[in-house]
Amino acid sequence: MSPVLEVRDVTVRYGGLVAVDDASLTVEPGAITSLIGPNGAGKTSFFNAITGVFAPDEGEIALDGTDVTETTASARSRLGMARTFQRLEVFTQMTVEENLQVAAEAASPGRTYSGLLRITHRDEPDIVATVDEVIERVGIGDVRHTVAGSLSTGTLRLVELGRALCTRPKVLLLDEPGSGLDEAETAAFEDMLASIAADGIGILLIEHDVSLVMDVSAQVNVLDFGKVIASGTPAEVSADPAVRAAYLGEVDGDAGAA
Amino acid sequence: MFYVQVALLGIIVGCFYALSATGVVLTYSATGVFNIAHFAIGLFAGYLAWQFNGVWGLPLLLTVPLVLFLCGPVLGLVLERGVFRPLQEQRASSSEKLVAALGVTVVVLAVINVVWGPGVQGSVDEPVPRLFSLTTVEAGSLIFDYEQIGTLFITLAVAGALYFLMQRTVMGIRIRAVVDRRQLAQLSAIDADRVSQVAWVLGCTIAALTGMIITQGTLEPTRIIFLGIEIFSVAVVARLVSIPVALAFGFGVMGLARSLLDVFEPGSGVELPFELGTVADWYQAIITNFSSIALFAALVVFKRLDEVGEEGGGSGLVVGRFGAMRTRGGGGPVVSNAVMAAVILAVPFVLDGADLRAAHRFAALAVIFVSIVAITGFSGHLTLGQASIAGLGAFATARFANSLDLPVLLAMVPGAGVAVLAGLAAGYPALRRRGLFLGLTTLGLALIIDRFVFNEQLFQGGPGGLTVVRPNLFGIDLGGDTAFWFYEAALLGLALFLARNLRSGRLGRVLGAMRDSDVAAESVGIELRRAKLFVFGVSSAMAGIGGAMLTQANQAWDTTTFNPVLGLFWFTAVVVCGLSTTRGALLAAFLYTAVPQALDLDIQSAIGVFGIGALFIGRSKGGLVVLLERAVGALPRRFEDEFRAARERRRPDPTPDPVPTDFADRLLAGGSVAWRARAQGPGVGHTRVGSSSNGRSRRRAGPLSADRGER
Repeated sequence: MSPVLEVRDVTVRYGGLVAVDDASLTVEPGAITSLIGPNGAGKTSFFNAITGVFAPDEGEIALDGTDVTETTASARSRLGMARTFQRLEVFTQMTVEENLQVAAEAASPGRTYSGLLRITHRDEPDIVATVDEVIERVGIGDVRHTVAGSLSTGTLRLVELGRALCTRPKVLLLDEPGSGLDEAETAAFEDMLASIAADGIGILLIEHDVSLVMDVSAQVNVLDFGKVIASGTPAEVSADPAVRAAYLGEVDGDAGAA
Repeated sequence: MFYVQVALLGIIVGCFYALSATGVVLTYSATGVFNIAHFAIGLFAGYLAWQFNGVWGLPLLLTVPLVLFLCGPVLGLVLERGVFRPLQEQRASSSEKLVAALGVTVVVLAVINVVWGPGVQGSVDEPVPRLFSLTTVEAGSLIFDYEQIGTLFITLAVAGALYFLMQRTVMGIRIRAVVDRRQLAQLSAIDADRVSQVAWVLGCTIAALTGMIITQGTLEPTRIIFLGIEIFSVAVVARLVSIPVALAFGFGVMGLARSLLDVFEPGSGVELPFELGTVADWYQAIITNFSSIALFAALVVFKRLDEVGEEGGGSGLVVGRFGAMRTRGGGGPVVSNAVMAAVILAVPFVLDGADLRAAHRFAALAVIFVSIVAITGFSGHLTLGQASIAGLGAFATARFANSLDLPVLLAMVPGAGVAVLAGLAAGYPALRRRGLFLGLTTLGLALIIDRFVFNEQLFQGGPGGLTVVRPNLFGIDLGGDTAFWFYEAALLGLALFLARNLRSGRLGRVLGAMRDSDVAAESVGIELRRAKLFVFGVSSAMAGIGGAMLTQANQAWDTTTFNPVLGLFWFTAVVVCGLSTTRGALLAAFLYTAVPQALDLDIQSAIGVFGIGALFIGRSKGGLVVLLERAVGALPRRFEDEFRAARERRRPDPTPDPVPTDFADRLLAGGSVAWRARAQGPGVGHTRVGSSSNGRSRRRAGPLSADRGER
């Protein structure tokens, strides 16, 4: 199967500093691929280049075979790339339902701006169906009509995930979804990811929490000083001496503490 | 030598710019408050000095320290303690602080207006004091007067003292630490509040000093207010944080260089096409209004300002505190619509004469205020220049109608079009900024429009204001006071209809998403550029129509109707009354016209009422309109809200630890997600244990705490 996301030789520089150095990765549909690395390894810069927050200085990004290197974040979204945020970015003054609805609407063709002159505003049935399905799926039915700004971090991570799913993505990019979650929430999140991947969506997971990554990933890429120093299955990666030295070494003695 | 002498003419103005901008920069960098009230405090000090010295005859040597003390330490501490520290404690955004500073401006200007009146002060009997005499001295071939020398000396002394303070004292180090990283500085046991106090006292003292310098023997409030607004451009060129740049640009460029450039008259004989005057006219216009150009240019060029204490790029404005937005259109409450229709019908029969004309102004202002709500409340973009955009629409309408003999209603279409162009010029920078930065950009645009269109003869086709005729619809004259009211009511209805649509359906959700988070909106596929330009365009068209209505109500267009300070007043009024709904705009327009009418005050005084409201912006969530509606408690919409909220509240929620348990329960309720327990082995943090059915039953059996206990 051809990869749904292909990132080739991406370099990001800030002035003289090379944050991401010739890094590549691929995400297969229906599988969870991870990107890990210690603080300052360049994960966020890499992620931002992939999602279109800024263009990389070098390299190419192909989404389901289409070159998207020069396109905006919103264009990438419409082509099937969805994401969540490490520092939550929900629409705080809208209800949970509206958060999802606006995403579903942005992804489906329809007239937005002619609404200025319309007398009535009805919800479109197919949009409502999508929203209902996703709300059911991520299990946020009981906060459906609650204003998002008043919810807890754990719930908002689900809202962001639901919002991303509403755009009907081919690939889903998650930026440290585990941060701010406790054990039970993290475990539940892992299950959710597995079930989403089972639907054929490719997932790229950027995580700090090694245990979560090793749990769910089919493929793991390790980033250190902007370079991908290892990639492979969790077993291969955790056996890699370079990785152990750079990142996992500390886990050797007491992984349970993490 | 001649040129040096000419340049020296700019000493006093240059010192004024340099000193004032330093005060603004100092306050901003240490407190995160862009003190837009700086010029108002200076003006107040000028009046105090005149009162003490000129009217009461106190000696100058007593007056100056007294004024410095009252406006500096006293006023500075009052502002810090009473207004800005509470905001800081609530972690208010820079937009909220800007609104509070606007409140200070409005209150101070209102106090001046109530106590001393709007006229020019200073006469032979009651002279406005000069700090130095005008006696001249000669140095070589150059001639100075003592005022220039003294002012220069003061500026150098203040600059030197600030340098010493910042570089050589402990307080200076603290200020610089707070400027760098407020939170971090607090962690290292620096009392940031103390630093803020010092900054406010110094900033206000500097404002008072410049206020006494710039009066130069006459108290002309309008001139001083405009000079005062110009200092913002110096502060912005200094990126709001660099005192040396502020001093250098204020003194060197705005003072000396500008007065030097002023003597040239290139191309005086070169006529431009379309009766746009000569090249020299334009050159003069550019030099005279150099500051507004510098402001706008700097704001457009800078990718970002060094925004102090701004965490995240969110809209942050007071709208962040309002309840849920309603995007599901629907017919709206029948009762309040009916009440509104009845009121509209009754107005011409109940009111007459001056009151009916006030109602005319109300309707026009309401349209403009709705445009402010649309852009700031609905889409989260701060705009301080709406008065100038409205004025531009009115101006263009009048010019099209008068010069091209278009029917008035027809002329309003291209008139609104011109306003839209200005709105897009403001909206383009908004693609990558909002909050304080955008507020300043729109203010800069307002200054440019005011200076180049309203106050230059180049576009006017003749000096003085324009006559404005009221419209005519297929031969029906809408000029009579009653007919004009119904015409206005129709346009106001249209504006309210558009505003309703801006927050309904797909469009409303797109704008709401953009207001809450730019990055998230982009991430779900919303094209920000399009959405932003769209809302700026619609809002500007509305403002342009409203402006045209206002001039038709007054039956004249003149520069004072739309000056940039009024723009600040209007924005303040709308924010205080409520930015989140059109009802707030209607209330603002009503109070703005009714209060002066009822109390027989001019608006400069009456606006103080709004100013006081703005001081407490952090505490009045939702604005006056929400408080009012809560008090009345009978508005149908409100009822409906309460009812729904109560129904939701009735659902029991017995879990003691709502966050995690809630989460887990929700997952279970979701059904399609398989639950499995997660056992935490001592050596491997990620071992999978247990099947989903097993886990599910366990989850149901006990609360989360029990599960934790097993580990």
